[in-house]
Amino acid sequence: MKTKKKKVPAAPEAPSTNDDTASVDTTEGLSSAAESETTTQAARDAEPEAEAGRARRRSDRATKLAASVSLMSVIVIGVLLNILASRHFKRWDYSASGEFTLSDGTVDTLRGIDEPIKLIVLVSRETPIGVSLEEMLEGYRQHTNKLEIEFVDPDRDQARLVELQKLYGLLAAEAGGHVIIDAALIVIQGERHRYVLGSELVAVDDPTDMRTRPRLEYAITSAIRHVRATTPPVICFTTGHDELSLDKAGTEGMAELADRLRKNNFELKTVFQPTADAPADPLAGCELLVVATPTAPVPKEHTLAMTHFVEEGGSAFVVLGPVPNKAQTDVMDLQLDELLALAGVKLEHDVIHEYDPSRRTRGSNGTEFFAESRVHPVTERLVREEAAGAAALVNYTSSLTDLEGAVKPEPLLTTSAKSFGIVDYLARLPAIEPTAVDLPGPRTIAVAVERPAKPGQERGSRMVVASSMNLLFGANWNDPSFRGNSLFVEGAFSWLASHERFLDIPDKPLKTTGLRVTEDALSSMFRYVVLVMPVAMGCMGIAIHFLRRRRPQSKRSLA
Amino acid sequence: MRGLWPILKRELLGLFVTPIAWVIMAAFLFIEGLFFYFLIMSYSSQSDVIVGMGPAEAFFGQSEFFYFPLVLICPVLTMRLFAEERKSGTIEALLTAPVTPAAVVLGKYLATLCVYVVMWAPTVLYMFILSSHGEIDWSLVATGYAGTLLVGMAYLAIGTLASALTSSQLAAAMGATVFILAFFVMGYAARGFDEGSTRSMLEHVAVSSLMNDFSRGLVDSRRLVFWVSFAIIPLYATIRTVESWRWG
Repeated sequence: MKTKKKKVPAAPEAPSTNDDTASVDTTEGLSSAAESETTTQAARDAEPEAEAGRARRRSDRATKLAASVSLMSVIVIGVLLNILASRHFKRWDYSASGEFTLSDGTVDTLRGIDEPIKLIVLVSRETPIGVSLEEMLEGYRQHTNKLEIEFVDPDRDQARLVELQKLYGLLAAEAGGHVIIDAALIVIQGERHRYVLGSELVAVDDPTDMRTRPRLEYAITSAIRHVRATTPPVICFTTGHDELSLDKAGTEGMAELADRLRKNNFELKTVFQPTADAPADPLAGCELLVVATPTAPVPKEHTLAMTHFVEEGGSAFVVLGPVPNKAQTDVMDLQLDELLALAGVKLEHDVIHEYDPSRRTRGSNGTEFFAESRVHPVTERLVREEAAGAAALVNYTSSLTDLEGAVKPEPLLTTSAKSFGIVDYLARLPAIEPTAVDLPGPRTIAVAVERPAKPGQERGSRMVVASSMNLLFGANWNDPSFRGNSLFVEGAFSWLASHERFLDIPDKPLKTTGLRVTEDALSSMFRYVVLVMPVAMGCMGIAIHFLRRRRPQSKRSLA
Repeated sequence: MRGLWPILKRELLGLFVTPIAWVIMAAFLFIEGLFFYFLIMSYSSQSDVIVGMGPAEAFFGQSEFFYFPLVLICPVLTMRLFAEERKSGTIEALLTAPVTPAAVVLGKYLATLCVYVVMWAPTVLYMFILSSHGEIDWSLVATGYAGTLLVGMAYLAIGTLASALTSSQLAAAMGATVFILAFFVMGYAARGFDEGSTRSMLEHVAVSSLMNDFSRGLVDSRRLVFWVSFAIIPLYATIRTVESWRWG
């Protein structure tokens, strides 16, 4: 393009008349007339030049103004475009796993939200999982404006964290200078809420291969669906047989457990209350039955009602233990054999003594010990946290013997091979030494079973039976040394109360989130990336520099 | 846009036949190599998996090591574009040549962008190293580099404008660094605000928002619009500045 504006030569000055005046001073009149004529002529000549100058200045001003206006316009358009883009945006997920591409099920769930839902993320945004959560939730926001998202950094927002702990019963601990919360996310709608645990956000199929399977979407959408569900699952606790009280707080009450369950959106109800107007079907409306440590014999009709409930597809959590009879001579028969038979087990009239010093606690005479956890969905978290020292601490337990029938119970907690189930325990007190009549270890003290589904049912009823009463004590949720117990009980409730509806979100492929590198490989990496590559680049520059110096000056024209 | 290609060639030769570009690239590779090495050390010393992010994602923008060289190197690459020519007087010759201001600006800008791309090119080897020790999602690598290119485009455009506004190379480099740093700090400042319009605005301009998205394979139209406009506006201002020199 040619230059737009050529420099206009400066307008010629009017010619000086000083010399002419000196030479013609004798002819003053003529000279005066001539001077006057010359001035007029110069003025006449200068006028178009001045006009051109003014026009040029006007043109320059106009050009500068146009340039400024166009620059301002571009800036304004840029700002407006950004405002528009921030309000109407689109995201494309190019990751091979489609980690942030939402499934149809999630999109349907989000579009169906009619009342606001609040998501409190208890993870710092600066952590990798925090960034991933933020990205995922940004995708959720694209489909609904009913989501309110709040990030709470447990390390920084201490006041807010304490507030949330009080509101939702969160457990917090400090490790390595960081605050660790049992929940990663709380999803709240109205009075209902649901926790998403950190372990639910990612699945590790095999911890040795350093790969993880992202499950953010499944965990978050499940929680949203849960709080939107219209009817919370009803858990029925048996009463009337000297069970632990749901209202009793403290170490040996169940108030802590009840509080925890309510905060997880379960509805609690007590059944078999000795009232005049007892309902015909006391377990109607129950989704899960909890037989919570009866210490008095259960009437036949109650056992029948419970048996019927399980046979019809209801799930049950039975926690019981050896109870001395009135004469203190033997263990009481609680008359629950029929119910236990549905789980494929029988409660022995023994008291287990653990003789493995690595498992029994000091001063307990072997009746209090740490149980061994077996892998099962119920004990998933317990097994995972065993490395961190969590274990179920049981007290006064009896053996659960497999009836070897059609129903196959899966052991959840067992004792060591050095343990014994002492029969006639009360009669043999105080000196307890195992004899040939006693039941040798390992003994099973907790089992889980999923019974065959009846026609029309998606799955059969589920049962968890545990023979240690202390598993339901409030101390498990207050004292960190009983964390294993709380993990076991919560796992049992989660498994037993699982809902029929499952989110149809396909598993994301595994992705590498860790590296196994040998020291040799690490050293060679250091050599290549920190030394060889930069040095090679530097050498190239030095070589070019010297090559240029050697070349004749004339050849260095272009550069 | 007559004259773009000759100017681009001239600038590229000017950059590559002098040691400056090579020194910058060597320094850049040293810093990035160190960062990559620390990253591998961190990942390999973890007894457990790092939830939510693989090493390839972490390389792109999960550490200040990623941004630090950009904040310093982009202004250094661009500082001489106009400032040097103005100081030595060669700009007069360029202005009287039959080339448009847009060609002059874009030719110089694209030359530095080429150096920027060449500077990053060897880091692809890092990804091959990673792939030899585990699976790697090459789509994430591609979007990671796309994000890096967007950041470079914007930062170099800022540097180009700064170089056109002053005849001192040092002042140009300092000016651009301060401006880039200011935007960088704004991203950090976002963390200090609660959810709301201020936070959203600061996050919108934060380079970390761009890299968090792109390093995870997410291409977000908001980031594209912001970073492209962040590159275009300074370039347009530079063109106008160069044009103004012709007015005398």
